[in-house]
Amino acid sequence: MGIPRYWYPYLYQYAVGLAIFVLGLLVIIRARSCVLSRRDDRFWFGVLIFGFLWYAGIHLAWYLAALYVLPGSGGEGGA
Amino acid sequence: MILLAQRRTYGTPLDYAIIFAYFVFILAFGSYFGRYSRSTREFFFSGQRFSWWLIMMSIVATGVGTHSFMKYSQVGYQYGLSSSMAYMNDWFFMPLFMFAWLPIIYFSRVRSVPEYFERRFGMSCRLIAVIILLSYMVGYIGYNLYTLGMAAQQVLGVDVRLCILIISLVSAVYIAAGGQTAVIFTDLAQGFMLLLAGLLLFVLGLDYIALDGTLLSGLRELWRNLPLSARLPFADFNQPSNFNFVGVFWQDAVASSIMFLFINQGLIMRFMAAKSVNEGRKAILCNVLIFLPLSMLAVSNAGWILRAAVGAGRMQPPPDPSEAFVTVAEIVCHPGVFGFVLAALSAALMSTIDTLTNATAALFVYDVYQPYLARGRPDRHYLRAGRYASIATSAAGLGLGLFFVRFGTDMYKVHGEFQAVVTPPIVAAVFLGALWKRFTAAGALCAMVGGAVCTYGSEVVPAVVAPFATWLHGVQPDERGGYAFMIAMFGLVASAVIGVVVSLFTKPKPEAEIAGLCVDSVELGRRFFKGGQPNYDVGRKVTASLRLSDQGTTGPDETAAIEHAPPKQPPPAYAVVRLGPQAMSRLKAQPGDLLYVGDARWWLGGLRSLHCRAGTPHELGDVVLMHQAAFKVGNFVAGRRVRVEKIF
Repeated sequence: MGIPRYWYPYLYQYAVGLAIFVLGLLVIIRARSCVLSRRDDRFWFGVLIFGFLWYAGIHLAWYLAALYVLPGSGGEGGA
Repeated sequence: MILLAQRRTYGTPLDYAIIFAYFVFILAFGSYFGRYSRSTREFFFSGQRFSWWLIMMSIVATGVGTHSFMKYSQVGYQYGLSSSMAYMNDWFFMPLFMFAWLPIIYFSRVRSVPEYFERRFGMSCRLIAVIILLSYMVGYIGYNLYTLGMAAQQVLGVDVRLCILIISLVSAVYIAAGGQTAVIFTDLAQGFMLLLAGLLLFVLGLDYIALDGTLLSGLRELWRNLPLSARLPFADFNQPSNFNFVGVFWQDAVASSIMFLFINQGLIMRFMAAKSVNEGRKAILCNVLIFLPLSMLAVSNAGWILRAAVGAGRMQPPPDPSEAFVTVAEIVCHPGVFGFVLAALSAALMSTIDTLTNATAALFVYDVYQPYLARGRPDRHYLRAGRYASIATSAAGLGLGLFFVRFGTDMYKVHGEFQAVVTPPIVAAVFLGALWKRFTAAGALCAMVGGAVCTYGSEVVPAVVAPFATWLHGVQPDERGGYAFMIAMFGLVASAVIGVVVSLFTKPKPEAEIAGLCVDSVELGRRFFKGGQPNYDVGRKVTASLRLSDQGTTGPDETAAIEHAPPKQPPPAYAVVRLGPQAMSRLKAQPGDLLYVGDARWWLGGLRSLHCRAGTPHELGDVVLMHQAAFKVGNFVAGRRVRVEKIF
């Protein structure tokens, strides 16, 4: 059984997004624009990782709520 | 179709009074800051002094325009919670922004994107960038004025031209008087106002659809009356052609994010107004993680409420989905609140227009007037030119807004299509220029010209976009046979490929000439900014009394400052302040380090502050010695304590 279609956007966003994000991290570390031995840079590096997980977590929780936790009856009104 | 304007009562006198009071307040509040704009640096960049929270609210207010309420309410009504997509996909480029582009523009003190192009590539690239950006920004002002005018006509029945005229006049007056400082402080008020109005509308909407009058019941009804597809945070992967996930991802999360972060002159000027790179990072962090989701809720919720209310049989569907916002606002708002919501719509517009106007004036003065029309004049002359340029920009925006009204939506569609053609190439050029030191001037020129030709070609022959849209992602063409969302992606890729290929066959600039302008040389840029070696020891802030001194406008490392000057740029000049040895030790500062001295009242946000260089310590105890000239430049108040922190 394949992955349900409604999961495609989530997987795509956080797979392609992760690739862009990691590439960005590699560029700034290799260019020594972010030096992890400095306390300040280490803090901001942690913030960057947190931000990615923050959005991935929010969207995951949203999906789980919509599909499994709070399914409700599902109206059909509107456009 | 029945127009709302034909069947509405257009608010009460109380609503009109609130809107009038809002305009008077903004005009007075913004004009007050004229006293803080005594040089071009202050007029356009507020002297690089403000705290992160001021910068952040200004970005929020700038990012949310009138059209945001209209557009996202419409999308929310049609597609449900997936209208949030565009506001919650902006994190992926943050590493490159926070650690590459932000330090590059801040430390190199470039005043505009075209100036970056000249220093990085050469004069011809600067000229192309100026033409593209000026046309984009003036057109965008006209577009925003047009959308607010149409909204006002829908809701209030006010003549669209009158509305455009009033907004243009009010914004022109306070921007010409107060410059960037006025923009940032009015944006603070307007940002809170538009968020508050949007969230208030959400609460009132929930109250309207609630079965037992509680917000929880309203939330339950909202959720219950949305079909599953409308509850998910993303649209369907590739259907329909005019609103699907993959199209929005490439157009918004990729192309628009790069454009917003890397070439938005208004945004660059915001970050240049921050007191340090770290304050800029805090501003964008808080904006993207907290305030973008809040903004999304504020601008979209009317559409969600309408969708649920229609599903529950509590409201009739509007004749046109674009009327979702005004339909809900009119039904759920009481007299007075309705006026507040309309004032917030005006605030959304004013805060976008003022940023664009100030940024356009900066582009004109720095990239057209100063280099081509009036070289070598005193700063006072350019300051006056900046004020006139602000008025002229407002007039041009007004003219364009009226032009759009006169000739209908076709005109701004033409403008939108023009921008869709010219922006991906400039985005690709600036992105590669900042990240790849091997990228050459010829590569940038060909990327901009060749990329624009390719992007335009993809509008004429959409089949060239098919490999990206249909083959890779299964997106079908729209009814016109085009791929609106994927063209930006195609333009970016085409421009980048052209730029890379040409660069590989041409000679790059010597590294010394582009020092501080690429991600590889951010550290050098930091040294240029300071005029010496950075001190990375982490100290603590100190609070002390400020005392005037006749000594020291130059520091102990004057020679070092000249040695660390960037190529073809003057060395940085900072006023010198002297602190006691205990304060220096607490700051972990050495003579020559860069300090930030600000009024101890945090809520001023840096309005009374200055970057200084630490001088040799004195033996006078808990005081900061500062020269009178620096005292005046920093807008300090006698008798007030100051807080000092070491930048690096």
